[in-house]
Amino acid sequence: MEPEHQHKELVAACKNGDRRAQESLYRMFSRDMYHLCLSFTGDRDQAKDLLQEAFIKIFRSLDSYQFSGTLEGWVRRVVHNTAIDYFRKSKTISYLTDELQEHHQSSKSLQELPDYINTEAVLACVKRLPEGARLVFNLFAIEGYSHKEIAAQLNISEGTSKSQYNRARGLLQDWIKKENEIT
Amino acid sequence: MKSPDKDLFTSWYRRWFHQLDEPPPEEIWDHLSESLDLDEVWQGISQTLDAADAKTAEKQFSWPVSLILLLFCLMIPAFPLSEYMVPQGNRSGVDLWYSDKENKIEEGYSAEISSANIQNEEPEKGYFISISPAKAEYIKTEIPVLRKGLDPLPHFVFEAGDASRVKPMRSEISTIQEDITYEEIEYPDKKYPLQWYLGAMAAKNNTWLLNYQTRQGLNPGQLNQTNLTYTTEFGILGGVDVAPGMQLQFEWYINSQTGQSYQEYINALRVVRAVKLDYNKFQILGIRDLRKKGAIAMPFVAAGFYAAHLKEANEIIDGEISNISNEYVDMDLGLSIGIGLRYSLTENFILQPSLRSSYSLKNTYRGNDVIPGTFLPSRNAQIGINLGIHFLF
Repeated sequence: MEPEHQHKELVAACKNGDRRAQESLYRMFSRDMYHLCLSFTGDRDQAKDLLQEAFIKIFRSLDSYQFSGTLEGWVRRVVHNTAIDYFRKSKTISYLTDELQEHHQSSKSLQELPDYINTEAVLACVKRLPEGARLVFNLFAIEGYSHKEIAAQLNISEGTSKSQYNRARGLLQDWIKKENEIT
Repeated sequence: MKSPDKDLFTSWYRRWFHQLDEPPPEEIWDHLSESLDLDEVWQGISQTLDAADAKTAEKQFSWPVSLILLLFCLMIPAFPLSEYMVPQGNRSGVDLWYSDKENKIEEGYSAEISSANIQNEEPEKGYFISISPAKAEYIKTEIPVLRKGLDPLPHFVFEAGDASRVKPMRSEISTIQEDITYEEIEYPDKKYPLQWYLGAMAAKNNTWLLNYQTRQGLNPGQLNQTNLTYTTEFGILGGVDVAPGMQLQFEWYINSQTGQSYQEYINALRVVRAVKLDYNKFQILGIRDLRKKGAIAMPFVAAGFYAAHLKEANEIIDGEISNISNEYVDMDLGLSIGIGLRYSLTENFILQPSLRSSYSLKNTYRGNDVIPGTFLPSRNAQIGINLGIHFLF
């Protein structure tokens, strides 16, 4: 059976409240989406909350999915929209400031970055980034959005998106290198 | 979407990201499942509420249905009221009667009498009938239609042909042949004399406060029990004969009491708790006679509406009365039906015993601080014996 056709059947069953179908859909995407949440938050607990919230939204809004794109694409979009909402919920999303930037001395030498690095170490570095910069970095680097699209989603200017991305990338690179040196 | 830039760190990070192989904690699905269960619970509640809304809609719909039933009761005669005798004379007659369904006069086989039972006619406009050509010769001539005691007399002219128009015409008594015989007939035209009556009535009712509590209390296994509750009501009545065999009756119950009594355990004591609702009730009934006029005892059916204004609501627990008027809505609206007998005591005094039942169309419980009105919907219902006496003017 074609995957798209399978998805249609699965979505239809989920819409009918079939718990096994809902679990299947969850299992199908939860691992990738969890990784996305980890990258968005840099924290396992927050990633867990975010993933749960995102899937609740997914199941509640399945009716709005019209099969116009891939199911995975739709699920991803719900997840990062949930992430944006998640960070907006408690406070305004903070971004990198010049002060933070001052401490950063970017190194362009990637030879110092190992092929493998402890997940915990990377997550710790990701978590150090302000939420706004984290979102911009992930939406650009992982999700492949343009700065224009990111700016529209986060309600910031395109220039801010670009500068936040560049700064976040530099800081992450620096921090990860240091983490690597320590470990 | 476009691809991110080609910088090496981004590529490194992306590679790290795609190498991640950490399964989401199993508890996420458990929590998600719980949330979905809660969703289902809410969905169930929501559906129940929707169903309740639908029921409300049905109840609202019951008004026009009730109205139709009332009209049905008033308009559809239980027996042919307007009977016209077509005088026979020396003619070779046939029985003629008007068929509502086919809108034509049909023929019978009696050679002794010709009669047409015509209903709902409008003499001013006339109407079409169809007559079999074979029988047309019998009805080519004028056939006066008579009614006793009311002049001038209309009569019909049957014209030859398959389809003939019945024309209302006036006829002089003198034109009627001496040997024509006819019976008493009733003619529901606009000149029907309105006859008014006025009287008083009283009723003994078995009342019900139809709600969850009452229904639960009818289950013998329950700790709290519902008692049969009887109340009385009295008031004045008036009415008018709107057409032969049809009256419109207005009833005003100065004191109409309804409610329910329960046996309950309150503070470890078995006590009687009663809810008493005192209303000022106004009722309109359409009454349809079930026999021809002239009978001494006239059976009838009645149907109509009532509107009742709450004067006072009390809760009586073990003799202690507390006012709970704010827990019940001010206005109750409902349906009433009944069957009865109108018995002529004298020419003008009529005794009218009847069996009545009523049911409110709306929730009468407004609720209190603890229980919202929609959580314990209550309706008034009663069945009882009503005795009225009235004077015909």
